[in-house]
Amino acid sequence: MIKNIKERVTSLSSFGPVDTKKLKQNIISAFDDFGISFKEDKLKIEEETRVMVLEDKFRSFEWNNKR
Amino acid sequence: MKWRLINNDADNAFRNMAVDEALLQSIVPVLRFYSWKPKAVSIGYFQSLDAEVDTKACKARDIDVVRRITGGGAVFHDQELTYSVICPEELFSFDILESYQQICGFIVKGLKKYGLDAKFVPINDITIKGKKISGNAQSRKQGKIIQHGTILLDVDADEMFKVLKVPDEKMK
Repeated sequence: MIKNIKERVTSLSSFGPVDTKKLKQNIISAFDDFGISFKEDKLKIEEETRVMVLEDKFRSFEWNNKR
Repeated sequence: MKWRLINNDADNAFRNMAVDEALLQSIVPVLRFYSWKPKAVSIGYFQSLDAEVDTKACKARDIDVVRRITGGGAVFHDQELTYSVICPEELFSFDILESYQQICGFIVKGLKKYGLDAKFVPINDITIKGKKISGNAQSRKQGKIIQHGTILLDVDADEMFKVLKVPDEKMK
């Protein structure tokens, strides 16, 4: 099965040294080609507050075992 | 309107998923890049944890396990770039398959600019030379689309098979 997955899946490292920064820049540039530009941003205070609450949900047994 | 670009460092699975859900409140569309530390397994919203993941193996290896708010299958997050696109539904097709093609189209073009011959393969994969390099999963909540996607930087298939329960028929 492992051999099977190796035949079906590839990764960036298969094509040379991985440059994550360049990959991100190229993806951003691809959005720009479709007229979407960006402003680098961080989470706002109210978003950080919500993250703290949501993090508890994602850690919880109830959320992760609900099915 | 300029989109928000949120370029996060590696973080744990629970915070990663919490940040994406919190960003559903953003009025401005978001492209977020992130990765996972420690390694993690995420399962799709509709999946059974017991059916998909060897939780004991994960615990023994300090691998986080988390349920996503998006659909799709179980994913082992190790050496990868993860992205999320969070935006109002009306920015892309209301048809889910078309919207996968539209959003994955940015990633395909980005990979082409990187120098790789990437292709979108319905329903929600991106391949290079016929092999999958990116999987995607989507959900729609509160009038927003959230799409998670991964781009594999490297693969440790041995460890992947130690933590995921992959049915034989999936490998055919």
